[in-house]
Amino acid sequence: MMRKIKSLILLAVTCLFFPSCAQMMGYTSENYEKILDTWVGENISTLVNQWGYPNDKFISPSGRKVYVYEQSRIIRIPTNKVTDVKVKKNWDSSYTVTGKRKYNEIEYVCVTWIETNDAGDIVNWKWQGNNCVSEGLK
Amino acid sequence: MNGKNTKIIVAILFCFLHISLIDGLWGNKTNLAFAEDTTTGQPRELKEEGTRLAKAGKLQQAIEKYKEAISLKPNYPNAYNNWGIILNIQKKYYEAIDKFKKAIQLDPNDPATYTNMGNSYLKLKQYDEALPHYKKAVILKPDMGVLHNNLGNCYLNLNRYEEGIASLKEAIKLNKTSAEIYENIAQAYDKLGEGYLAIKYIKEAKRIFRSNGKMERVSKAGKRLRHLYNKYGDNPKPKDREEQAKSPGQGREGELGTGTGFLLGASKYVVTNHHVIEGANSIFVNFFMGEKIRAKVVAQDKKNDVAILLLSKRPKSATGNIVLGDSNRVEMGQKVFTVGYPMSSILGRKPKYSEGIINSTTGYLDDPGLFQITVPIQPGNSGGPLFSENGQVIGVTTSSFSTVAAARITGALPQNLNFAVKSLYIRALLQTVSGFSASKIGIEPVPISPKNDLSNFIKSAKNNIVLIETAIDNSLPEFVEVDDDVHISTANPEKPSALKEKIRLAKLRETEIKDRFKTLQEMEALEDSVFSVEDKRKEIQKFLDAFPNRNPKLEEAKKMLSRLKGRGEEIKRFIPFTRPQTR
Repeated sequence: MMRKIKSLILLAVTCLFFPSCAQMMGYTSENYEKILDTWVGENISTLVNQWGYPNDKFISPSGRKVYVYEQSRIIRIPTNKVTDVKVKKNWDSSYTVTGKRKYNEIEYVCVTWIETNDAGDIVNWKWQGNNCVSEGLK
Repeated sequence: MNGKNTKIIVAILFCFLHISLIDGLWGNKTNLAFAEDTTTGQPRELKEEGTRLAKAGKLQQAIEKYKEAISLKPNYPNAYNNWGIILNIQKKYYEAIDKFKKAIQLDPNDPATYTNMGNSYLKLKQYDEALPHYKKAVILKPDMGVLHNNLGNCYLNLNRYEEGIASLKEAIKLNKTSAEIYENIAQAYDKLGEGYLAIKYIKEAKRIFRSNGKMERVSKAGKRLRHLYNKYGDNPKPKDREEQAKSPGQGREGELGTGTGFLLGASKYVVTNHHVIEGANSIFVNFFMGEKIRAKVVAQDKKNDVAILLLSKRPKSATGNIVLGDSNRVEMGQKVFTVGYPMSSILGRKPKYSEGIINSTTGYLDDPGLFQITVPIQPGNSGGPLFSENGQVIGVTTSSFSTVAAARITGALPQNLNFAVKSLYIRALLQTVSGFSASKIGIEPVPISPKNDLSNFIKSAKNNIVLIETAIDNSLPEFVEVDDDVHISTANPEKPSALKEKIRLAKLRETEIKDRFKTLQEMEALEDSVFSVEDKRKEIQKFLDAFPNRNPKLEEAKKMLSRLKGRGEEIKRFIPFTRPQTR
């Protein structure tokens, strides 16, 4: 039983780091767009209540108010490469050599722009990034 | 088709009536089988066995059972109907139509069969053929929302959007929680380029989907809404005043109400039901000959559902002499009839005659204020006169007992339970209207002359019987008294003095002039292809004729008229509003 739980936890943690795996779990940008569509016609205050305050706000050239929500995180993925590092010994000025694992850093970003009309109703959205994904609608 | 798929399809068809938009095709509710079956014995058992098999996906076996039932009882319409349904499922639409035709031959009054036949034609994309069958189904069972929906969708498939919208709105009245109908109306308004209304209806669809927890549909509605915002802008405005009347918060769910009313004698007073005009601040009275006059409420009795309206001017067409009878003298079993405008969006804007008898001199739960009658009352009949055999108004047709509601309550389907408010209450309310002379209403019974038979009577009375249209419209000016022969009563000390009244009328007249001139300006701006030059000239001339003196806009109107000189003479039919109209 414990082994099963462990494997599930491992899968969930792994999926956090790998978008393709996340997609397998149903986290897709299509689903994210579906969620954004459910917000169209709702008032921005309702969105703020659920999503929190936006990171930024500006007026678009067409006169619409645009609320910006941004999420980003940097993930360090360990590679197979190990580099040798010389470590100085304090007492005899000699060096020892030890191995250090290399990491790839990947930035996951999702920026969402929510456009509203004069009444504050959401009329449009756009997103950009490599992490605008969501699970399916329930 | 494998067995599993068939089972799924059958389950969907039988268990869940679902409307959807498929690749631009307005889909319809699936096959209905709600016909009452009076057959007993083995044929009935065979038919029911067939239905059980069909529900289990065993379509061919079901057909065999129906065949057996028919072999035992060749004139069994329900078996033919169900056989047709199976053929529809098997996509054998022409064969299905044959079966439905046979069922109709045997029972021409079953709306289910007409619906099913309409569905067959719809699947064949023969919308012109489907239309009369859907219409017939609605006429046979007007209180069933799904039938109005079918008719509406058929109109939409024929690109007759306005009629489709009218039918779908009827469907909404009977089934307010069907988000799919709102979606279809939104789509139709989009086709008509009515962004404001398209957005309004898709928002409502989305709200209903959300309240039902159908998040996938919420998302789809949101996607469509986003498309509409991008197409029409953030805040599209209603196209005309009538649409403004339907804007949220101003209108009664955006609906225009209709009902019947009648003029007593040659007065300017119209009697109708209170519920016809309830909440409306814009009321128009349409006469049989086509005249349309604005009216206002001068007295109302909500409890007894009676209202008295005052016309803003005297109708040009001659009115007959409808008189008020004594409802206390009415006996059970007495013949009665009515003339009204039932379901004008479907049946048209000409008055319709219906007759019946007095079932009881009391109404629902022995209400002494009502008659129970067998005269069929459809939506739109409300407010019409209930005539006794000698042509006196003894009541106002008010309501019918909801078949669906009754079935839910009692488990049985009531037949033809209708009610009318007694004329007693009309008379009582009329007495509260100052300036209305009791003698005009002919309270004393006036027997119809021997020469005056029923058809002659109706002929003379029908111009007194009017179609009432209401809307909530805060943008329209208040009621404007424009008739020259308005009577100012000074008998009542609580009324303002004659001078104050005159000043008030003068102000109202000024408002009317400004309002009508503004309309003329808007009309002038319209392209000649939309509103012909000749019609423009006529409208301006009408304005000049109506206000020849003390008219601050007189010169401007004359200039407008001179600007139109020499313009094209092409006559185009003007459709003043994009309100749904019956063709």
